[in-house]
Amino acid sequence: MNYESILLYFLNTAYDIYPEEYNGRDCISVKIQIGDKEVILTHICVSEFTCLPVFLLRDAGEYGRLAHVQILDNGSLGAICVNDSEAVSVNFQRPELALEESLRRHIKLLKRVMCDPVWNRKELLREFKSEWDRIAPGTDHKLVCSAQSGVLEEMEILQPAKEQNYGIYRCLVGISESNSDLNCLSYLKGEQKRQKANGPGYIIPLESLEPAPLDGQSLPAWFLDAIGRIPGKLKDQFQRKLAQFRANQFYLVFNAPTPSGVTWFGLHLSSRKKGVLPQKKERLGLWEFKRLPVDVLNKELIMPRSGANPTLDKKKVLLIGCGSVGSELALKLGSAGVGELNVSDPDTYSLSNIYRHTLNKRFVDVPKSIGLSMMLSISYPWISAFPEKGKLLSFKDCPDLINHMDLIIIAIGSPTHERLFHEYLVTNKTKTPVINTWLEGHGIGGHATLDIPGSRGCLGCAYIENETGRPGLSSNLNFFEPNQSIVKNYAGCGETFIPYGAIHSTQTALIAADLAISYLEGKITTSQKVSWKGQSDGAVANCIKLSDRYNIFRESLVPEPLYNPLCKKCRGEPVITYTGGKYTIHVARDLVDSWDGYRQITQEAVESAGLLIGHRENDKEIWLDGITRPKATDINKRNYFKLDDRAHQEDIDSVFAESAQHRGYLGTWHTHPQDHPGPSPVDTEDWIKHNEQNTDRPLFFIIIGRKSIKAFMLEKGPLTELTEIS
Amino acid sequence: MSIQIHFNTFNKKIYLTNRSEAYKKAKQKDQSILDAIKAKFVEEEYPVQESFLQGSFAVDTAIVNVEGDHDIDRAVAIKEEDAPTDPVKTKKTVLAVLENRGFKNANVKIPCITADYLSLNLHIDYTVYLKDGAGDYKLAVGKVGSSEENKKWAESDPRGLLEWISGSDDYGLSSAVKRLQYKRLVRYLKRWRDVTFSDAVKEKIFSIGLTVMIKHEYRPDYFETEVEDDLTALKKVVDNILSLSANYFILASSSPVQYRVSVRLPRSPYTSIFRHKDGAGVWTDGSAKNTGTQLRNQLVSLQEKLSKALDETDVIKQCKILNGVFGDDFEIPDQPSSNNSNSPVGKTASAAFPTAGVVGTSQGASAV
Repeated sequence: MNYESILLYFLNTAYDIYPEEYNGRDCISVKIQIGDKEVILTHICVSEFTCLPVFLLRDAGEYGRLAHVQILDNGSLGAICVNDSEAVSVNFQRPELALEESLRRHIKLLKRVMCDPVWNRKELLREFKSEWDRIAPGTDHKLVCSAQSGVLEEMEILQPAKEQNYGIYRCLVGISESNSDLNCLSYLKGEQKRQKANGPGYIIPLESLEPAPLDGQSLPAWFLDAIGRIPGKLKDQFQRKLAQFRANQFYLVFNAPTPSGVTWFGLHLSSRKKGVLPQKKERLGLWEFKRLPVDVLNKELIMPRSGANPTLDKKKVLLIGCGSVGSELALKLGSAGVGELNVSDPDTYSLSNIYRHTLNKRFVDVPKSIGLSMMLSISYPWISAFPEKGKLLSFKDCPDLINHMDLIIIAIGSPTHERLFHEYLVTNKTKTPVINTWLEGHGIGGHATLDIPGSRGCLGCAYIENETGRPGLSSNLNFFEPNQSIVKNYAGCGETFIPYGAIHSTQTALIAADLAISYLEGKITTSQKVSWKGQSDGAVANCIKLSDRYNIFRESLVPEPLYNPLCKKCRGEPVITYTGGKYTIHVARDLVDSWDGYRQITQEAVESAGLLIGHRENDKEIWLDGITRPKATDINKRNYFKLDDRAHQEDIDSVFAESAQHRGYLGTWHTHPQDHPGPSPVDTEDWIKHNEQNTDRPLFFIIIGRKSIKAFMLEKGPLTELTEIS
Repeated sequence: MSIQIHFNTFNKKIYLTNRSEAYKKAKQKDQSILDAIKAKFVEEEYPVQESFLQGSFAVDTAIVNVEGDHDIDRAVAIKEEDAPTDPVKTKKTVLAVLENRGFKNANVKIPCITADYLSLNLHIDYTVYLKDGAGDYKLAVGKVGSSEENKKWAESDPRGLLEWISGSDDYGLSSAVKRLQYKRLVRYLKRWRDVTFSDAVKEKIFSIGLTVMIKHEYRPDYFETEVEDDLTALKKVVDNILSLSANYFILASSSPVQYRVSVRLPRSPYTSIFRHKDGAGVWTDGSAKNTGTQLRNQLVSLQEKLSKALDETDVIKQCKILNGVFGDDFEIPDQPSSNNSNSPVGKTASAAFPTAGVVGTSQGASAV
């Protein structure tokens, strides 16, 4: 580090910076005025700045207790915590600027803690826990305790499990009287045997706090003061119930309010002679006081702090399929905080799964569902994880279970079974939403659909065949053309597999989990689909043909409506049906609903216009199933409009491509400020022009009046007004 | 205050720290000698308890030497109970180390041990202290041939002296700005000395003498939060030094008019910084007449030139006068430069980085 240039940089500034040798080390020091005090900050020279340059406060012990200043070397220095250094990026090319910025932050912080005693005290209390954690000596083992609330109560203390050198097994465990959550208890106790400790544990709420003591010698005095801070109404209970108990050891877990919420911390008392908790100064000497490191398993505290959503705690999910996608999905749902997870799979875990499955060697030859539910239980304290062994279709026999669920997720990769199951759910009018998720091999991508009963869009929408517009065997979401062999054969029948890696199964699990969590959180309320699209080189190398959707797809990870207008079940009955020439023309409900909003009822309302989108059921039946809406670039006047044709064309093109050329342009619509409208000469001239450019299809023209709608048709012949038949 | 930018540039040119690239080798030497002395002191059973810099590096008033020489002023302290009765013994230990390591002219002087390292133009100045239980220092005084009564552990307050020089208790508001100006003025006058006097006189006008005088005579307005420009401040300091009431110059002979300069250490042992041998060969307070007379005459001449510079309104003409005072490191600009004396780095500041070098939280483990 070139300190010469740094010093030169500061030379003619107002900073009183100078090089110095402090305790035999090269330093750079700065004298600054804070309030009426002159303080010296010293930076010990380093070979490079890997974080914001550090300054130490000289003679830190002379300024009283300062928040964010940790006293070192008996008060001759203080380490100042100005920020979380790793979260700041340093401009290594301009170290002097980094030093200046750091200095600014140090000065700002010191000014605040030294000149604003109220703030200083507040900050001292805010950092109570981290100060407390620095007190030496601490006990050898940490105490993990369950505490649903901070009320005064007793805990049973269990010693660390024998012959376990890591994990929660090494910790003391405290089970509070009031804890009745079995999942949490089994998470705490684990599968290992633990012996009862030689004394009780108490949870003690305090009304207020003083800043944490600086060292172990101050703990007894601190303890006496703390006992005095037990809220008045609890004192009696404390004296009667807890303070009478004689033991060699006491494990005390305190909780108290601080400016950053309730803080929890512990104290351990031990004595060779049994006794009651000391409450008088002269009794303190009989006891050894140590800081007891404490972790509290408290749902309200831990779940948000570690990234879960506590509101998902009441949600129940059935996951069918615990393969590479399903197992990953289960863990993601668990980590989101889902309260109940039923996982089902008929298979057992084997070594051929190891590289893309989340289970490990402990679970070889164990049913995947059992392995997965164990994994969930040891990962998340409050989850209820239940294994099921059934295949998807066997759940047809469990309507109660299905109806009990908030969401069903199917990750079995078998379209036939999935659609049969879907039929079953529809037939039985099941209200439980279903997510289906699957991936395609060679890293090309993966998909998920969310079918919410009562919301338009169903699993069937994802299976309308591109060629025919009818329900087909393969999903229209797929990126591979249907009817190709994707699997690789490893050892004949039963030993085939789809080539993909854990990245691909995980990515697929992520889009499905995101969809699931968004639904459970109430952020998604309609049926959706989502895909991720990967690179095509693997597919190309294996001569696998890609679908048109692969080529046009741009919206990886973004949920889109699942509804496909070609799906007869979701489309519903037409709201108007016309005849004209040889055609029967159906108008879908949502078109009419949209038009209602554009009717020129008021004096100011302008003419609105757009294009008609539709598809052909057969030679004679036509569905108008979509429109383009007015664009900002259109011109819309009271009696006149002009479309920006390019903008509308783009909409048409994407609908056309997305539906595999099934849905396309079929005419125009516009409003008139008339009750019962008729075409103007400008209209008819325009329509004729359109018709001349689209000789391969009939075109329809709809005028929305204030009270009625009129429809016209042009093919090869005169303008024909359509007749409404229902 | 447009002359200030030129003083800033000058300050930057003469500024020297022991972190400078030019000083790197000297610093390595410093460290290696210190390590060797520590090892030797352990052998002699009076291990070094602490070591600290003295002199201009310790108070950040060092300047680039015109001839490229480097100084090291270093102190080592041993425990009182380890200290031999004869202080010169410890100084001989230092001397032996220096001689072993290729130093020339190694010499035990009354207050210190000096030596030169020719290839590095390095002049070294070592002092040995003992530190008693109360934390007070005593200096190892005496030469190899000194009589017993002249060899002693003499009371001294080296740390106190450094603190006095760096102190700003008398500066009042915005003391930092004033202390910075004080340090600049010391650098300026040291450079003035280096370019003004002959070698023989120069080495008698000790930096500590100038530093102490300037410290006494720099008296910024207690209630002002800003300082005057360096030219005005320097002129006032020179005026004060020369004023009769300051009493630094003692008339030693009236025909011809000759002076001695006399300044005391402001901290223990409070002795006179400048001394001369009297007719009986005894060291006596006050400098030699030649030193005092020349210093006074040149200060008077400096006072006149500064006064002329102050009267001058044209910056280039001011710089010409100051160039005459301080030498070529005080540059004469080709044309009037912008009135930008507030710029932290003068005219070499890069426009490409107007903002700080550190940006706030970026990605990662989020706000915690």
